[in-house]
Amino acid sequence: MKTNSIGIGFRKDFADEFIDNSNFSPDFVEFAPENWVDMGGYWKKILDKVTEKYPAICHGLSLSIGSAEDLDMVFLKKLKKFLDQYNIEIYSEHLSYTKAENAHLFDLLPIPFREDAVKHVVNRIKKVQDFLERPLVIENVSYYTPVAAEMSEEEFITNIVNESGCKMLLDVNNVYVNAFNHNYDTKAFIDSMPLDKIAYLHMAGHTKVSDDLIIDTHGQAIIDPVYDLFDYTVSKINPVPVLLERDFNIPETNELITEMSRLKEITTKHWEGVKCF
Amino acid sequence: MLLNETIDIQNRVARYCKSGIEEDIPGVTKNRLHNYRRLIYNIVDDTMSTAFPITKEWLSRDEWDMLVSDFLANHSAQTPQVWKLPSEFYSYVKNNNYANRFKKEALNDLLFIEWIEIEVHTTPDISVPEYKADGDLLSDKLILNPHFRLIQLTYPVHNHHAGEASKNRGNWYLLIYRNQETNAVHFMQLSQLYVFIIEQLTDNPMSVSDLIPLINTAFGIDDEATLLANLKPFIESLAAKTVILGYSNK
Ligand SMILES: [Fe+2]
Repeated sequence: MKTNSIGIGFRKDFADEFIDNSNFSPDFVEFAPENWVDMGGYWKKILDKVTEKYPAICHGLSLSIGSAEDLDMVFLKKLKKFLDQYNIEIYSEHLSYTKAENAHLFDLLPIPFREDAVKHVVNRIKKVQDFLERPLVIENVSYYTPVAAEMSEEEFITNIVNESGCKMLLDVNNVYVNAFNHNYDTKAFIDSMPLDKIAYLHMAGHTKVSDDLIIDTHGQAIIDPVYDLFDYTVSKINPVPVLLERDFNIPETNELITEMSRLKEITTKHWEGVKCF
Repeated sequence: MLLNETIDIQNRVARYCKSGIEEDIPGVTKNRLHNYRRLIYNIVDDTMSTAFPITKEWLSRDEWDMLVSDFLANHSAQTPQVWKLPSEFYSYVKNNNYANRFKKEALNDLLFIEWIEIEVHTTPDISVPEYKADGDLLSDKLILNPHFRLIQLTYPVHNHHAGEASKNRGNWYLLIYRNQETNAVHFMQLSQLYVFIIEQLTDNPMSVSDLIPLINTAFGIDDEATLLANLKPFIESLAAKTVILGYSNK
């Protein structure tokens, strides 16, 4: 995967565009393995075509790294086989939990920012990395309320990344959403992240549902303040791949192409000719 | 290890999201937690609405909402893959007898057939033994397309509106198969004899000549000429539909 490259989430809703639209040429794609593992027939053929055409990253949904539950070894075995089969080098997951009391919930619940949770997550990250024989990349998530926090979100993330030795997927939109919802300073938050550990970046749109709440829907275009924060973030880090997430309310493909071009303009401005610093 | 206190807090959040019943959860911002409950409810509702569009249309709004909210509250989802969750929803509704409660007898069959359509559409690709497109109907082995399910319904929801189907209790046999070329899923109603034939071919590829004595034993049909006259168009129609892929003489 080239470092200054802009990818987009591969979704069934606009799958044909990835194969047939010659104007649409993301540098790479990202998809959730949960949506494709065990899939045969029509959709497998589409996935095969897409992964033949583009380099791919997998971004998981149900690993539930923050759960008290045991890791789901049956799923992890399938996942490993899948990642091997499609030659996926980067596998990322959310710093959240999606399972409790033996029930999957299919949404990203906020882990209490506490010392025992840091240790627990660090332990599980190591187990997953050992089993999958590839690094696990952990993403900062949007959250709508802290739960029984004993430290800040920055401390929580930084401690986990540093103690586990994992890489980070920094979602710039999530930083913006959380800063808005919990009154942080966005740039100070970016500054506090382990910026030398970033594997790649996420960018997305969100939905403001009230005067004091934004929901991370991935259903709108990216707004200017998030581009500004992206510009700031890119200026601070070494070149890495950047992924545009769009899951709902899919617009005309040209709008996605325009968003990706705008992201590339920003990364090129900062990273052109830059190897490392 | 997570402390018991942290586990308990995480469980309370999850329990609230499932049931909507308030829990005592420390250190949360007022009026924010319900967003998680709403997001999770919507994910389950959307997943089931997409998987079971005909069932949803048939039930009243209240009945549908009751199924979704009871399922979320009372069932512990086992699959990490949300697109497989409709299978658990079907089992939950069937095992908890909502068909009786709603006085909608065909409910289980309708959910079942809608799920099986997804299952056949998505079922992992199975490799097929070698075959040739043309062969001798009588002596060559018939090679089945393995991407199918044979099911039995009590109500004919496959060709009747579910309300009408509820009045037609019986034994309905269906072949639900994935076309090998288009990957589209189709239904075919079968008689018991034809179910028997497909079952035999599934267990062990064989020729029509091999089938005839088996049919004779199972159904007592010994008029070979009439049987062959019936089998030929049936086999040909299965071949046209890619249920039979071809022939093998190995
Ligand atoms: Fe993200």
